[in-house]
Amino acid sequence: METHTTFVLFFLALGCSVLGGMLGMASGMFIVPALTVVSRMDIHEAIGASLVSVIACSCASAAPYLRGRLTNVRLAALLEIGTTLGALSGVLLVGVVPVRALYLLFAAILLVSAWQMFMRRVEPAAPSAAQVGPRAAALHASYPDPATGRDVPYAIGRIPVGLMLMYVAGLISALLGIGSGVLKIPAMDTALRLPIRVSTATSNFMIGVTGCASACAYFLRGQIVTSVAAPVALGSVVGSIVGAHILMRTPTRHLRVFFVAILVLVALQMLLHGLH
Amino acid sequence: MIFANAQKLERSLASLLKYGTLFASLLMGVGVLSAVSRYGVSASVASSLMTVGVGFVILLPVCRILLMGCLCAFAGEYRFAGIAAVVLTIVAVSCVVGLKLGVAAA
Repeated sequence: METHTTFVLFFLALGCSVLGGMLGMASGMFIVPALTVVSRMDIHEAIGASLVSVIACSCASAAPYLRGRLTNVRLAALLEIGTTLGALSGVLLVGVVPVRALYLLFAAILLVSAWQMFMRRVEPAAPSAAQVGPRAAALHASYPDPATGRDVPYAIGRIPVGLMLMYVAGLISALLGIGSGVLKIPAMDTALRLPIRVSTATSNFMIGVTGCASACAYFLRGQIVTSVAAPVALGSVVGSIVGAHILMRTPTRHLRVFFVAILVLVALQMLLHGLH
Repeated sequence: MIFANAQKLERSLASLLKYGTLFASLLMGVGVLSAVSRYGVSASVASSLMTVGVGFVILLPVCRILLMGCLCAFAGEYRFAGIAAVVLTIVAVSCVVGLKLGVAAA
């Protein structure tokens, strides 16, 4: 591969990942459109490279959440049954779903993501006694509240619904090469009723395994071009660290409208690709 | 799970993911730099380094589930060790399916 192309891939991934990190999102949402629209890469090749970068970013950012006791490891393991089964279904569908449909699906996911960003997340109410099954007790946990310095206990509700939504998230992840936070967030907020800090950490923790289930298949099928995936993954890891630092120091509230506009523009670009 | 065990599990997983990502990034970084600079190592070595680095990234979550399953089993948390085994089995089936489809496509 040309030196120039390697640098373009690295900086493209870095830019996408900084943007994703500033929004608190996985970079896959921007990397696939950037590789297909800007670099004119084949969408399957772009999805393979994006999956590697999504796994690398998830692993890199999981450690601080784990040390901060924000990740519910046991709940993540249970929900990963749903996401990996979805990813397995996605692997089976990869050659079947037409490329145009992939572009249209990507556009739809981007628009849903823009809507979520526009609406903002609110802390969900604790689940009612009827929503908490007797078997969920082993998954209840607590997280440290930085404001009070105390542990805040929380319960988990409607696990079957959460598992079904996770299956869809895994399927979309395998088809599009994204982390599928766009589907995991409503699953965790609406069905499981997790506190926002816990759901963000747990969702990020699960992305690695979800991506791995489909990336293994892509890798063994020879659909991951390592000379493309390596600079993209490196750029993404560096970008996610830079993006997270910017997120902590910048009042992104004011930039939210700008980011929504970017998501809508990228969605329109993918829509045009899908329709032509 | 006993609190001390939960913290041990979280710390072990955090260390694995942190140092695993660092190692994989190092392999990919050396591979990319070697491919770009064209000095020192041959193109095939640079390509191999990138392939091993990418493979390591993909396998890192598998190592994470393995470690989690083992630590849960040692702590007597057999239900969660079983869940980790189920997840590992699904990932393994996905690999077999990917391999079969790859052979069929070729």
